[in-house]
Amino acid sequence: MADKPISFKTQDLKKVYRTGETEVAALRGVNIEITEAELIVMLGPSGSGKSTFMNIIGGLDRASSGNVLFCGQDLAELSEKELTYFRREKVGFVFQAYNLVPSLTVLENVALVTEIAPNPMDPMQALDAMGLNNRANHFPSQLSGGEQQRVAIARALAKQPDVLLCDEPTGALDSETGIVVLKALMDVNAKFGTTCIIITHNAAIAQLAHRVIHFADGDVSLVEVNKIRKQPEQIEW
Amino acid sequence: MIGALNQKLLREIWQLKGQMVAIILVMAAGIAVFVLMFGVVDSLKLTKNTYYDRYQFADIFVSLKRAPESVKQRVGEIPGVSIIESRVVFGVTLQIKNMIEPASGKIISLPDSHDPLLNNLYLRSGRFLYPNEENAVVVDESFFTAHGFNLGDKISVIMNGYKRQLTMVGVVLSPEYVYSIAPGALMPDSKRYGLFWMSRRSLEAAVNMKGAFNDLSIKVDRNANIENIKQSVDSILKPYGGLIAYGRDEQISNFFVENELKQLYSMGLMAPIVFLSVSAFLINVVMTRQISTQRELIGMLKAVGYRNIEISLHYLKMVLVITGVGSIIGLSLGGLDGNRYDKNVYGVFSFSHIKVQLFIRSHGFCGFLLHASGVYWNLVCDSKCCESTSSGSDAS
Repeated sequence: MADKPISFKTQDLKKVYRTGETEVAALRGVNIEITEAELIVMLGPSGSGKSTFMNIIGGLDRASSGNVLFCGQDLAELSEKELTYFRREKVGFVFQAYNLVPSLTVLENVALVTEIAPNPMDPMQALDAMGLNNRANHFPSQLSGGEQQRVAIARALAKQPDVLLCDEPTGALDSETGIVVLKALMDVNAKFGTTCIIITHNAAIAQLAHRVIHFADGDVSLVEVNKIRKQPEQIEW
Repeated sequence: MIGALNQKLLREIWQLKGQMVAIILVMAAGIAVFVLMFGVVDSLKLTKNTYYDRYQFADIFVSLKRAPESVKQRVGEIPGVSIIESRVVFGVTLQIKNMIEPASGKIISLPDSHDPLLNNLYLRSGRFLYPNEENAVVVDESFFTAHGFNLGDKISVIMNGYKRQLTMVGVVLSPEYVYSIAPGALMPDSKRYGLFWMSRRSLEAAVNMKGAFNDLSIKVDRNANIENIKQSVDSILKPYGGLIAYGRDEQISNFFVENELKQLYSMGLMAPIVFLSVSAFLINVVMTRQISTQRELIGMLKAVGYRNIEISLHYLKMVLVITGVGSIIGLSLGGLDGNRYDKNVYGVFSFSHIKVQLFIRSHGFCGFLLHASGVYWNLVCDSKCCESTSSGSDAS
């Protein structure tokens, strides 16, 4: 991976939350590099700073100090509007709770993103990639959890983002459905070369990644490189 | 292609159709009352002003016991007085067939040599009096209609102790008696109180007022001080049994018309405020609930790259639909009912012409702003929360 261009680079990244006079340091100087087309799994206990890190590199939140460079551009220098466009053009999010619009069909949920993205793929193509083309006109309530999460991935994928940020994508799924979703993410990473960062509490999922980043107490405690990556169906849930 | 967000909006409006219809109807009712009342107020004002101007409604009125005609000239010399007309006005008792109790009335003189300079009459039917015509009168329309008289019918009048038969040759309206009420009465009673206009010379002879007058109407210059003129009139007429001169504000008919206008104005202001406040409250409740239940969706929209203004506009459109539809229904109902209500109000008053004016001002926009401000406030408060929602459990 070392010869590939760097997608994200953080330098002494810190985030402090203030509640009245109480200060909580969520990130305590994270230094890390993530290369393009890499599939990263982030592991760590609750409160270790994984989600905070993802929100900052995804342009949803700002760091208290330090830098986040995306393809050489410091995100701290971007205005609110520029951060919005950064999210719109470069980043796809997949959340644990799917966050689909219940009053829109599967196809319309994907179109919600393609309508504003500068270089989207056809929504049907994104659904096809997730094996959901026969579900295009169904509403989210008519789908299983795994299908809903795949719609969420299709929605994130449809804008053809440079990076896919997934926060506990299998957190609400059973093992069988989780495998389907992870397979979909690996396909996106392999087929489209999209950088994927997956946050999880499930250590088994780490075996799918190129690299595993362990978080503890707001900092990176360990970075492992998987010499042999497993397929989703090979891992023990 | 209407866009996914607009599709979401339409489906949600359909899901909330019951609440939407209720709010729209409350709002429409407020706007309808507003348009209706202010339309009537405006029409009534316009009608009244036009009528008063066209038929030379006087500015000052005064009654007295008896004064020689020469006194009129002295009053006319008061600075600020532009037109002056003396009259003989006499209270009479009326004997009408099939009425056990006698009715009362008032006979007012009309100049023989010219049209009245002030308080001119509008001829509804029949004809005006010929110069010096005896035993003929023109009669107020409401009394004439209330008894179902025909032109040429005679009426028995006891005038100055003598009974006379007067022929009704014309039916008229007067700006002085738009609201015709007998002295001391609480309500107008067209059957028991009639107004008649008679040749000045005939009336003078009948009531022994030859060369004299007992009533004066005065028109003043535009910028004249009415109070000063009234005082001067009072001082001149005091030796002749002059009662206190009064202006239009105390003239009974005009007083009732102005009162009606004030009442309509208050109703037109209060009722819509109540209706629109209720609808604003309901919109606020619906939108607050809508936004709070969709917090995570708003967070998702922000995460995928929607701008704050785009998300705000999405929710604002729902308010726009409610206010837009409510305004259209309210304006239509107000316009339609306005015509009907106009007729009811004009039924009480006797105007020569009816000037109808539909009242459309910026009320719809004001209502919209009232509602929109509530929604915008919710969105502003929510946009902060949504950032943390989309961030998920960030400290975890």
